[in-house]
Amino acid sequence: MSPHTVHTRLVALLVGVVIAAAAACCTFLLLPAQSEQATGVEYGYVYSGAKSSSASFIEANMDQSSILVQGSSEFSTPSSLVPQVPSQVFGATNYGLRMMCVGEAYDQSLWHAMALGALANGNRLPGGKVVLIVAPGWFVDGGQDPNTFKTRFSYSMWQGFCDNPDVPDQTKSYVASRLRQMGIDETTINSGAGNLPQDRLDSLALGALDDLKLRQQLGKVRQEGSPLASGELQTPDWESLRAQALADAQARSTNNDWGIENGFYADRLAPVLDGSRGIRAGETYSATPEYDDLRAYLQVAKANGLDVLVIVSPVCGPYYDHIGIDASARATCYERIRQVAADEDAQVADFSDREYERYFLYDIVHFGWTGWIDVEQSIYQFAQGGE
Amino acid sequence: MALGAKKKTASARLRRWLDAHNKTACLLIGTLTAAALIGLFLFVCFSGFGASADFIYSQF
Repeated sequence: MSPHTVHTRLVALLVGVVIAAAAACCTFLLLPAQSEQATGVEYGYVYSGAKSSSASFIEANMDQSSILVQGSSEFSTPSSLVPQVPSQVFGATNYGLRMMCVGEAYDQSLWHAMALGALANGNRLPGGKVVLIVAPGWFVDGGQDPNTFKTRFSYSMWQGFCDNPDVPDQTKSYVASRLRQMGIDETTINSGAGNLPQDRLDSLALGALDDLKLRQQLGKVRQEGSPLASGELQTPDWESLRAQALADAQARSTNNDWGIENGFYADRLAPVLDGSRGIRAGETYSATPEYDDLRAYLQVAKANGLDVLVIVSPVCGPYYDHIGIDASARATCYERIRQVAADEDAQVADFSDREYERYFLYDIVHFGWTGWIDVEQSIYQFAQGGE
Repeated sequence: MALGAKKKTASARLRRWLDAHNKTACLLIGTLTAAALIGLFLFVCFSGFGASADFIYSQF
């Protein structure tokens, strides 16, 4: 092959690379930015990992009446089963409060610590308050499965957390060490936290890739918004809301004595009850780093001047007795959560004493009809400045 | 003729044809390079191979 031929073919290769690079740049122009928002649309109650991972989207869709509420799978409860979910209370009537629900299943204290650090950067959270919903399921022996954590890891939130100058270095180091334990690779960790030239290059590349993914995924989120609650400002009538919740619960829970929704009991619980007696005996809720992760979360909040309300969710007492996680182990878990919150000056809305109350949960771990009303009342009072 | 000999003949014919049609060869190289890189880019960014799992009750 002559030198001329080699030369022209190399040029052709380079032209192919340039065309591919131009096409990649075009995707940034074609996909709407994360922060692009539609006016008059509420996204606070959309259950989405993409939404939860995008600080820009979250910030763009909050206003002075918004409060950040971090949690996990309780946000996925459908309104068709539990009409008292936040989207049907604060999202349907103008009570002067909008919840921005951030988090999905498997998002626990460590994930939320990163997210809060990213969201709080630059005093961007309105009202200076945040709510965190925790549950005993976060504190199981052995800690969270690293594989589930990795599926939820958000590079954007990690980068935003590292960029927040108000987060103490000690807390950043702790979170970085926990990420290593959870199997996040060193390149990813260092790209957020490192100072070497290659870390900055990695940060640019990983940030750009994550940005594109989120831009694409947020397209689906934007289709799931609902109209902003409008009309005259009202004050919630909690007694009336609770009475309706009780009526809804009594209509939807008729096939068991535990106050569980009919479909869940018939399809998921009844078939396995006999074989599940004592299967979780030995669970102590003590051999886990989750309490330290919770402490890190609260330290991030404190360092950013945020008031925190920790909502302690109960479990279904009769079912947990049945599977062998006894009341004393559960009580220990609740007490340790309360202690960590007290150590870090956080307020607590403690619903651990509702384990045996029918209809507080609709399945065995998620807020039900009366549960959501009580949780919403505590959030409302917290937002209004009460304790 | 043995299969190996047929293969050698085919590749040699292809090479000779490309040497004789350099512009076409350059076009093919540029197009395949761009297509491969764009495909890789789309897969990495949008395929969802790293997407999070759906919630399942087994977390209890």
